[in-house]
Amino acid sequence: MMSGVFSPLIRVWADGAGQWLLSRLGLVAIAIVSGCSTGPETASLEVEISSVVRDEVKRRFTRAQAPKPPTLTRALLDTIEEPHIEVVIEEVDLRDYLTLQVRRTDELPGQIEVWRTVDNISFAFRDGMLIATRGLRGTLLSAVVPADGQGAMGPSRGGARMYEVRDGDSDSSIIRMACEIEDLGAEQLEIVGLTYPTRHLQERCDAIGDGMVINDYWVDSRSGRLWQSRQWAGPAIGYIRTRQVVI
Amino acid sequence: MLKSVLQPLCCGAVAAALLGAPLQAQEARETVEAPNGFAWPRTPSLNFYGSPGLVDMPSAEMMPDAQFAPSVGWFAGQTRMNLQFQAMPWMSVSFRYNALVNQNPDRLFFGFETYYDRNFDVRFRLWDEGRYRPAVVVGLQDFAGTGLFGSEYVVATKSFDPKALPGRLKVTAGLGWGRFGSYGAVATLGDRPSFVGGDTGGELSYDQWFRGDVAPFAGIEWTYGKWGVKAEYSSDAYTTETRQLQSFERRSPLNFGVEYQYTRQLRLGAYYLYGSELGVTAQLQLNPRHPATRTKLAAPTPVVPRHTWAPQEEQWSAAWADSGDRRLQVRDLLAEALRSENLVLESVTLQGTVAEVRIRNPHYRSHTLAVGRTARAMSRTLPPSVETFRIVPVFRGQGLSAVELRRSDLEALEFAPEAAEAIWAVAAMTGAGPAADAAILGDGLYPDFGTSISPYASPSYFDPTLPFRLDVGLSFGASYTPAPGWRIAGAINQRIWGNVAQGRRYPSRLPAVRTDFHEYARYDTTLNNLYAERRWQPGKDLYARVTAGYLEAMYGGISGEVLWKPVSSRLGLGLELNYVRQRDFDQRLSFRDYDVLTGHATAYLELPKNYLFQVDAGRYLAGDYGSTFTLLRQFNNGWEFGAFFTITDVSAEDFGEGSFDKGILLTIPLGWLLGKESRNGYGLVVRPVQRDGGQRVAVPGGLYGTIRNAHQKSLSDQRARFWE
Repeated sequence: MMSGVFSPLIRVWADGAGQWLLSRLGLVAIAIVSGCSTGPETASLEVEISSVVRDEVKRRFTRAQAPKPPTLTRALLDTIEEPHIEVVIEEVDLRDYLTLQVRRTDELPGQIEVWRTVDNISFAFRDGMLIATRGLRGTLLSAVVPADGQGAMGPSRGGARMYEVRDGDSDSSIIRMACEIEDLGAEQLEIVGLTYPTRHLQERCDAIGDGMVINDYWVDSRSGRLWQSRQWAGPAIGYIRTRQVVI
Repeated sequence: MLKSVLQPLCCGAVAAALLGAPLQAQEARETVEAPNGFAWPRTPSLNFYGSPGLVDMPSAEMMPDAQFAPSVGWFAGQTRMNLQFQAMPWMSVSFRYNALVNQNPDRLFFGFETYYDRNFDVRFRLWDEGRYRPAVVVGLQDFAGTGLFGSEYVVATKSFDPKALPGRLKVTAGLGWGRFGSYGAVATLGDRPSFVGGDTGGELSYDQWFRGDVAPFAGIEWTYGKWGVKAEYSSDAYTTETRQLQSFERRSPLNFGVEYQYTRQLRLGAYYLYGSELGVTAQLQLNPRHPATRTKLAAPTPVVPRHTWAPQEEQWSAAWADSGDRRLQVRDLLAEALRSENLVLESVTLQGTVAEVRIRNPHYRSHTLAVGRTARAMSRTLPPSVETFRIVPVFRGQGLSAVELRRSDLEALEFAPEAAEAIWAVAAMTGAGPAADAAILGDGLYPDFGTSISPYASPSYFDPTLPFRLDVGLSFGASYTPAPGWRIAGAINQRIWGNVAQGRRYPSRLPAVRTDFHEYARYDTTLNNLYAERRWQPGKDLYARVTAGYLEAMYGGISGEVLWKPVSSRLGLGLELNYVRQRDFDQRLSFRDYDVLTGHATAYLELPKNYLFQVDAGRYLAGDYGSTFTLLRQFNNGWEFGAFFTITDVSAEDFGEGSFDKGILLTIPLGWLLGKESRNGYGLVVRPVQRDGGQRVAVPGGLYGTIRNAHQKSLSDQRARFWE
C-alpha cells in the first residue's frame, strides 16, 4: 500500500516478562523437535509453540542486520510527495514515519486522520489530538478530545477528557481527567530546516488522585495546522511525539 | 541543527530507521506522574507454606484478587511445593505437595525414605486493615486428609510507614492450633485426635479444627524497595521432623530471613531457621489480569464511510445481487479480505441489503475481535446497498451465534468515545441456526485434508516413589473433512522417552478403568485416537455430536452428545451417552473384555463474576453412579482455575486412597504468555491420586466449551476488543 521512502522501525515492542520468559524457554524449546501442521484446523499448542520458538530464533539472528539510520534533510523530504508524519514513542525511544491511511469526519466535531506504519501500527487523531492507537502492546481504545471543528487543530478548550485503554483481561479501563488549557505564546518552530510561526498550547489534565498528564501542541499561527505535538497515549505506551514532516 | 550525514538510501523503497539521538528538540519538561491505569498491584511476600506470611508463620495479608502464586521452599530436608490462588478478594485456597526426607537410621517414615504428602489450605479474611485496625485472617492448613501439617490459626497484621525509617514495616501476631500450637502453648481447648499415617484420607478433619493446645506466634517484616527482612517467633515444635524423621535439631523458636524481588513476578528468599538450619524459597506471583506480555496485533483497516466512495445514487442499487457472477465476485473479494485478517470465509449469503457471513476463527482468542474484524472486512468489500451485516462464527460446521450490525453504525461509531460500548449497544445477538440454502460456500474448503507433527508430553503426578513422571514423544495427526460438520481424524504417538510405566501399582477393588495407566504407558508406538465425528444443529438452540472410533488411549466406542444452550442464556443443559470398550494395553486396534455404558446429564451455569458451575450426574466408567461438581473461575483472556470432586456410590474403602475423586483444573492461555493472538492454552488436570471411582471417558471435541465461547456472555464481556 505504501511506497514511501521510509521503512518500519518500530519492531517488536517488548514489555518485559513474557519476552524474558520466552528467551529462556526458547533455549530449552529449541531442543524440542519443531512441530508443523497443514489444513483447516487451529494449529495445536505444540505446533504453535514450535513456530514461536522458530520466530524467536530468527529474530535473534536477524537483529544485527537492522537498517542503519539515515538523517532527515529538507532535500530528502522535498523528494517525497505523500504526506508523512514522524512519531516517536518516548519510553522506548522508537521512531517511525507514517502515511495517511484515512481522512474523514463523523458526527462529532473535528477531522479524523488515521496514520499508519508499513508494519501496521496506526495512530488516529481528531484535529491532531490522539484518539486511538492500534498495533502496539497496550492499546488506547478511544478518547474524548476537545476538538471544535472550526478549522484550527489542537485543543479548543479545557474541561473533561477521557481516555479508554485496554486492560489485561480483554476489558477496557477508563481514565477521566479534568483539563486546563494554557497558551504559552508564540514560538518559531523548526522542522528539518523549515521554520513555522506557531502558538504553543499546553493542556494540563488532572486525573484526580491518579496522576497528571501534560499534552503540548504547536499550532500554526496562520493556518491552524498542527505541526508538532507531545501527547499521552495511555499508561502502557506513555508519551508520543509527532511532527508533520511532509504535508 | 542537523549535523549527521545523509546516508544513501539503498534500493529505492527501502528505508530509513533510526534508533539514535532523537531529532526533535527535547524541551526541558517538568516531570509529573502519569495515571497508572491498571498497574501491577502491591503484593505481599509469602512464607514457606506459600501463604502470605513471615518465614514459617502466616500473616493476615491477602494477595490481590485472582493472584496465582506457585512457590517452592526448602529447609532441613523438607521441600514444600505450593500453589496459592486468591479465589476471592477475601478468600484464598492452596494446594501443597511436601517431600520429607527421613534421616532416622533406625526406622523408615511410614515405610518411605522420602515421604510425600499433599495438603489443601483455605484462608478467610475477617476484615481488612484500617487506619488503626489490623487485618485479621483465619486459616485452616492441611484441613483434609492425613493432616500431617494440620494447623489452624487466627492472625492479625498491621502495616506502618514510619517516618524514622524508610520503607514499610509490617507487624504480625497470632494464635495457632495443631502444628502451630505445638510450642509454647498457653492454653488447651479440648482434645485433638492425632494424625494416623496410612489412612485413606480425603475427608475433612473437622473433629480436629481449633482443638488442643493453643500457642502464640509473632513476627515483623520490613520492606524497602526490592529488599525485605523478616524475623519471627515460631510456635511450631516440629515434633515429627525432630523425633521421627530426625531431620534436624530445633534449638530456637526464632527464624530470620532476607528476601529480594528479582523481577515483578519472582521473589527469592534465604533464611536461618530454628537456630540450626538454612533455608531458601522462590516465590512466583502471576495475575491472570496482568499478562506476562501484552498482546500485539496488527492494526485493522479502518472503515471508510460509503458516501465518500459511492457518491452517486445508482451505485447504491441492489440489482447486483441478482447476478450469480457478481455474487461470486463479491464472495472472492470478501474471502481475500478475511484471509488477510487470519480468518476463513466458511460461507456467505448475499441479498440486496442483507449479508450473512459465516467465519472460522482459528486464530483469535476472542470471537468478539474476530466479529469486529469481519465487520470491517465486509464494510470495505460489500456493495453499498448492503446495510445489515450478520456475522456467524462457525466451528466444524456448527453456527455458534449470530451478531447483527448495521453498516451505518460501523461507519458512524469507529472513532466515537467508548466506541466499543457504543457499537455493542446497537448490536444484536441471536442464535445462528444452519446456513441458508442460498449460502455460497467458501472456495476450496471441502473436502479438506490436514496433517500435523507435534511433540507431546503426558505427565503422571504424585507417584509415591517419584512425584512427577513424564512421557514425551512425537504425535503424528491427520484429519479429513469431507463436508461441513463431518470429520475423520486420528493421531499416532511415538514415545521417545518416558518413565510413567515404572510407576508404583496399586490394587483396586473396582474394575481397573484408569489405574492400569502404567500398562498403557509401556508401549512406544500407539494409535492415540482414530474416529469419525458428525456435528449438526437439530433444532433451535440445540447442538449435537456423534463420535465413533478409538476415542482416547484407553477407550473406544460410540459417543453421542446433545446440548441445549440459547445464545443469551446463562444456563446450558447437556446429555452425553457413550458405549465404550477398554482398549488393549498396546493401543493398536484390539480391545479388552471390559465394556460399559456410561453417560451423564450435565447442567452448566454461568455465574456472576465469570464463575462457571457445572454438575454432572450419571454413570461412570467403573459402572458407579454419582455426580461431579465443578467450579471454575474464568477470565476473558482464557485463564481458568477451578476444582472438582465426584461422589459416587463407591464406598471410601472400595475407592481406596483419597476416599473419592477430586482435583484441580488450570488453563493458562498461550497468548497471555507470549503476547500474540492464539486460541491455545496449557491445560492441566491434577488429581492428588488417580483411582478408578468417578472416572469418565475423554471424548474429543466436547460441545459446551466451543459453543459457550461464542455466546452472548463471552462476546459481551470482550466487547472492548471489537474495534481492536
